[in-house]
Amino acid sequence: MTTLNNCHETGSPATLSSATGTATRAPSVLLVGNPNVGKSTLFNALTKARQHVVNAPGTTVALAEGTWRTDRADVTLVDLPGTYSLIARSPDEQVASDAVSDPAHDLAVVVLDATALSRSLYLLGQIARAGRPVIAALTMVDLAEARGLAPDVEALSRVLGIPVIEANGRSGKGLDALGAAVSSALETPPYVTGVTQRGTEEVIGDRLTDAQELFDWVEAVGDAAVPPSVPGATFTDKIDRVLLNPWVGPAAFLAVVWGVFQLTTVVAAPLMDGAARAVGGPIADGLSAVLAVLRAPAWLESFAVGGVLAGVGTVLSFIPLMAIMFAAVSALESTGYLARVAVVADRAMRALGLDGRAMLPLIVGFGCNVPALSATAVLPHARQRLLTGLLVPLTSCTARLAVYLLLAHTFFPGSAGTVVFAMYVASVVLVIGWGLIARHTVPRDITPEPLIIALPDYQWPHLRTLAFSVWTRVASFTRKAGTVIVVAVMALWLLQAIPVRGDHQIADVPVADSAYGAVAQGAAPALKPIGLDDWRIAAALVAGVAAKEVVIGALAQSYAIDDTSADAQSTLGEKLRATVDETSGGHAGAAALALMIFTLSYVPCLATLAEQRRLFGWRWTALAAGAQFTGAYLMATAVFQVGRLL
Amino acid sequence: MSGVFGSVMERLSAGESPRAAARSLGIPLDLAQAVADQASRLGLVVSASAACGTCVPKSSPACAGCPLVADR
Repeated sequence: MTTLNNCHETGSPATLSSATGTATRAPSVLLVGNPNVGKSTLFNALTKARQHVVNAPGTTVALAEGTWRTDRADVTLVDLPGTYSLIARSPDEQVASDAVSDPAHDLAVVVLDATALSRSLYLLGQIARAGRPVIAALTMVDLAEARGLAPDVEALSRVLGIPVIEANGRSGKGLDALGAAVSSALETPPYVTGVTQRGTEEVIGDRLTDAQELFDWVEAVGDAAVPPSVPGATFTDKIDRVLLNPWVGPAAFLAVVWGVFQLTTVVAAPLMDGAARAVGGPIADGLSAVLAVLRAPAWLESFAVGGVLAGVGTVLSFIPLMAIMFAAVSALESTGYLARVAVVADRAMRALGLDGRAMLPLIVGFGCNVPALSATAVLPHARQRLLTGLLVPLTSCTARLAVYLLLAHTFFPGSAGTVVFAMYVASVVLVIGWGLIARHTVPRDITPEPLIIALPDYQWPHLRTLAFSVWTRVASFTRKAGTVIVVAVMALWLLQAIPVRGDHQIADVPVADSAYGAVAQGAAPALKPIGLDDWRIAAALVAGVAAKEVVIGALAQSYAIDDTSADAQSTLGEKLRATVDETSGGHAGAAALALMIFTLSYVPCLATLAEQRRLFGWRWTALAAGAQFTGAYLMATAVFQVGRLL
Repeated sequence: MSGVFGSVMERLSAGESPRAAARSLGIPLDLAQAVADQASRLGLVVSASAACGTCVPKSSPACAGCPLVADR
């Protein structure tokens, strides 16, 4: 077994000790720096063809090693992966961090980027604090000069207390001087002044204090050696002054969301109507004709046309609308605006005493509640994760959007976009309301803390990326909706095929006499206070517990199979309108709003419940679902009862 | 938090980008960016996509409607 002695400890060129004796070895020098500072160009210029690639010990990270022939001796130069910090975020960075801590290496050459000296100096400070001897190679000086930012090299060397060599791997400038400095440094190791050396373990133990001290040192070094530079106001700054204003920001966000729903509902309405009529008319007729030619049994036609086609076809008719909405959301995200929404919302949340960091999982919840629950992991404390996890099911996911759109188009055709927008506002109000209740009852000891987010600059959306994003989202929605609905429709169809009343055969039974009809009719009277005392609506809501996408599919299936309920050529919306007109006593608008509120909050889907149980246990899951259902029922009842009086 | 690190963090928590924080404090942009990066490594600053975890729209239908994952 061999061991490498630390040059810093011996104060002499490295020696290789072994059981058989002592032999000299080439000193090992690390080339360290931020990404994209010309480090590898410098490595290639210094080692020329005398280099090879090895894996870092115990990893698959490739490292380039080479022999550097300086004026006095050959040294082994190791080109480490670029990193901004010794606190690693990736395997590559961990290799760089480990190598700096490894006493087997004799010296570090830290590459400083003259155009972004502060970032480079911070890494240099970390290496110096770890107790490593170090010299600096200053690159990108020509670019820095062009920007009026070129540091004073002599002043920099003086304030750092180590040799600083201006070097250019492309032109060869400074390479000999760098070699000479390395040779000298191997004989008399230089250490950065102004930075207190600590062992690696100590550094890790108090990282925050360490960072604060090092940044003060970086600022002082910059003041001594770099011309002052303050970035000017950019387009992003000007926009942010408006959009991040505490008063204008929330209003602007509401206006943006309203605009998105107006756009999606107005543009998509004719496409949706066309798709719905095609599914219910020519496509259904065509499928029936094909099955008739094939002499398929009646139950198969019932299943294929009344079950699968009605359910899947209705939901898939929402694809144009979803594509438009996904395009709008993707565009907003890629411009950098949605990250600002988190900041604006954070302020509002903290004003209400809720933790600002909860905003990120809640925003994810507007896409899907299940990953949003997983995203509560960004919160540092278990009770914060619990509180946020209980609120996530109140965020209105994409699946619920399809229900709102059907109801808004059917009952409020002139203002569908505004009604859908109102449902999202209602979702936010529910989150805040339940959050306040939960905060003042269950986890009382949570201290609200701010969300500090790294805001990107604004940028124009990249059309190709945008198109790919929309395609990916639409494909995902279609796949999920299709899969869930086919399974649900099959289950519902089976229930509709089982007679529980009258003298009927299996698969030849009126829906009202089936197991499905019996359950639905049993549940329907409970919806009377909401103005929705209809078995098809009750059944759809029960089925929606499996997944909210199923609500529309189940409604379509019930109407398609129950031929006597309405004109078979009518759209689902027209049939639903006729039903709700009857159940609400002529107050269909109020009942539709109540149905939307109920759908928003009555109970999470099964996948969400399962994830809640996994994260928080049965007790909290059952408690939250029970409270949510009770609240939804009371709110929907209030909406209908007040609405019918207006 | 103290010093230039604390000052930048204060500006970031007020909803400023690193660039705006640098301008407000009269410091180089890369210094503010370095503070934001280091604070992120220390878990004090998050990025919008931090909530996404391993969620990737291509492989997860649940992420289809997520407002935070357009570029992932």
